[in-house]
Amino acid sequence: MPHDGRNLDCDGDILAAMDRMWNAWNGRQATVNARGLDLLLKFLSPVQTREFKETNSFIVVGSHSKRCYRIHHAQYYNVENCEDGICYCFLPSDAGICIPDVMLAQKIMLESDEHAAMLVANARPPLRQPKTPPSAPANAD
Amino acid sequence: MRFYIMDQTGHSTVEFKKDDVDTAMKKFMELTQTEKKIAAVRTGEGQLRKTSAFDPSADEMVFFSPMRGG
Repeated sequence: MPHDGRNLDCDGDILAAMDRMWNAWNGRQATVNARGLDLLLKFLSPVQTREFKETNSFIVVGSHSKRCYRIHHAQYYNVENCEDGICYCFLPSDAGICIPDVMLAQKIMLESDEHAAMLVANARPPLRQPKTPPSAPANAD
Repeated sequence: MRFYIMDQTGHSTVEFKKDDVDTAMKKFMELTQTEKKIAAVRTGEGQLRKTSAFDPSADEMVFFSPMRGG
């Protein structure tokens, strides 16, 4: 029995109701992401902003190690060490924080308290080989 | 002074008048001590520094929950 008292005994009604719920959720998520993006862009440096608009990611420098990390626009393991390609996953403990908010929190932590971030971060080996400087051809005989 | 607090809506903004430092400090304490949020103060263009002390001269601060591994 539907909780609102309506009799949704027709597949069309049920699908239309699910469609409305999905659209409402999508609309809300779009608004949340737009607000998160506003906040992120407000606090990125001009270089990071340009990079983010071009690549959907930006580079930060760790406060302690001075290593470069690339923060990607992604849900999990989105912080990549630029040297070895190892990916890290750490995020604010609230559930339901949008990706741009997570990226801003990661930027703040890496740029001002890298140790604390790395203490909680989970790490994953690189998915692809890190870029190496060009070397001599292997078969130069 | 303006506080940006990350939440499920993207963020919430709380604004304080320049002469209302006491209210801003009270809110800062509530966020950092009661809610255990991390605070960061803007130190320049594209620059934020994590802080545990209230800075009455700050223009903008960002708050978010403690980090955990994902």
